[in-house]
Amino acid sequence: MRDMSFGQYYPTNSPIHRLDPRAKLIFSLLFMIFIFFAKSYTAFLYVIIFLTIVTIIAKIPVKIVLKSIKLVLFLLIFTGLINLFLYKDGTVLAQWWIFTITDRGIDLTVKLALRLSLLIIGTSILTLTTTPMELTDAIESLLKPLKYIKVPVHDIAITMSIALRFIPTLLEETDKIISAQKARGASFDTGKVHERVLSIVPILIPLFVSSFRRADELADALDARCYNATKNRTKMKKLTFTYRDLVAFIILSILIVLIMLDCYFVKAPTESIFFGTDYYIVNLFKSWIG
Amino acid sequence: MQNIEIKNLTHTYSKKTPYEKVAINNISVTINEGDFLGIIGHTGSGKSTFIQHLNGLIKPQEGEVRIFDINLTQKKPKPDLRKLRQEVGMVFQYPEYQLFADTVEKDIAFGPKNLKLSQDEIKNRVRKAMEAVGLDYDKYKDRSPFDLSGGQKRRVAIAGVLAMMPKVLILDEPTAGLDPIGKRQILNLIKSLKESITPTIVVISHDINEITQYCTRLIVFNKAEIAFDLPITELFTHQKELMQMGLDVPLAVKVNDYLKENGITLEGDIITPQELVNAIKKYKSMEGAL
Repeated sequence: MRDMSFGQYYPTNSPIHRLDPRAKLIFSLLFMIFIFFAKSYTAFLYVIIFLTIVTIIAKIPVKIVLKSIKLVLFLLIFTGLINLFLYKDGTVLAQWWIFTITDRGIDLTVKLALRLSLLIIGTSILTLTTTPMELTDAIESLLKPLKYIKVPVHDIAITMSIALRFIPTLLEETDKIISAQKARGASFDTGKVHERVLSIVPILIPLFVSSFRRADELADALDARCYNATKNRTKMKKLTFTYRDLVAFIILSILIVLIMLDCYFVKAPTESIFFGTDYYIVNLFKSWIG
Repeated sequence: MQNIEIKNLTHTYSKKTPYEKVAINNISVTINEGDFLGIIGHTGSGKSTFIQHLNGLIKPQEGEVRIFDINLTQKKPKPDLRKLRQEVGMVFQYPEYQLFADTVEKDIAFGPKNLKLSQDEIKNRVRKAMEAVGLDYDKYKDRSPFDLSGGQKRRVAIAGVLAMMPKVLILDEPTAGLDPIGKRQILNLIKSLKESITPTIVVISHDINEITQYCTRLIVFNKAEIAFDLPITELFTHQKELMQMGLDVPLAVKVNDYLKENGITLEGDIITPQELVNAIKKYKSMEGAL
């Protein structure tokens, strides 16, 4: 378990790594929204080219980027198969019992698979190039307006960063406890089902005990350093937007414009993803450019 | 008799990732029956990784590990880890963090239960193990292990390992975090275990004053490699090298050297305070005779 690294951050020094995390977060959100407007294979090609460029600039090995799909491969295959067999519109190519394969069905399946995997690759580039701490900082900064309606943004952020901070610690602790119980002859992968379930108890109880102990100690440490005694905490690493973020934004905008133009020229979009709101936006876009 | 034989063992954590780290590099050690072996070295020098191999918790990546007649390197048939863990008992750092049961008796019985022994045998072993660590069976068997003092908790945890009746006992920093009295009690306990229950004992420590009081042979780990593997009487002729590694030498050795520099040469091997006192007494009586 020690080989497991959380958040899959890939440490190198690249322009993408140095982007403002807030910008990266917003860009990722934009990317996630606009990838749903990609309707034709040309649009998907634009997205693939965009992601390739980003990956090259971020200096991340392609293998590691592709690894992120592996986690959702099951979901991809599952939804793909359902789409492929149960979609009824279009020219029927093959039929068996309740299953039909149509040309539209194949088209839809391929596009769905492409969209999902590109979505995951795009978002995993965010987590590969941004440390969890940077991300929480970004979230805190972006949620700041909520302070005016009395949402304790800072407390939420610190809770998040503490939780993230303790994931590796707890993993290590779990690892140690598992080792210790194994050394006492415990085995977790043999025996009957109820025995296997019960074999978790000697791990969970020590883990809970130590989590509570840690939480107590941490609370004391926070109090001892006067946490919350001052109103406005200052930050060691201030987030600032730079020209780099602007350049990144322009590149992303090009992608978005290309996707939207493509969407405009594709005749009769075939499926709605956001309950019709996507058509609304497309029509709005159409009326803009006349 | 050779109990444990390790040849050219190498272990790397997080292989082929940016976090790659060689923990132990090309290590060869034999541990004989009756050894009272101490292992010292800095944090991260590979001590813990090394001892986890002795219990099959880490599978050897490169090199050979043979413990009694179990060859951990062989693929087929798979090495019998249950038998191995019965022969080699392992007490981890802060072993009290592995306690989980609601009574002391149940917790100590966890190991023997995993060995599928009869009820009578389990009870018998729990009683013996508790007596060996100096806890009265009738007084403590129904207490919750979480209500005991730090030193007592640790003794319960050690008893949990002893109840497996191992032939080799490995202890990782057995006195860490205890007060001086608790430390002395655990040290005396280890000494008595060597005589009564387990003939071979391996202790990890970084307190040189402590470890030299009972070990007869010391292995010094430095930067993932074994720097020295010598009987304790010979080790401190390498004082300079030890100092360069940032390791201390026992106080008695320092005093002896200081006396030598000032023209007082004592006789015999001097490592423990007791030996120093004896040598000084001898020196004084000889001086009186002159």
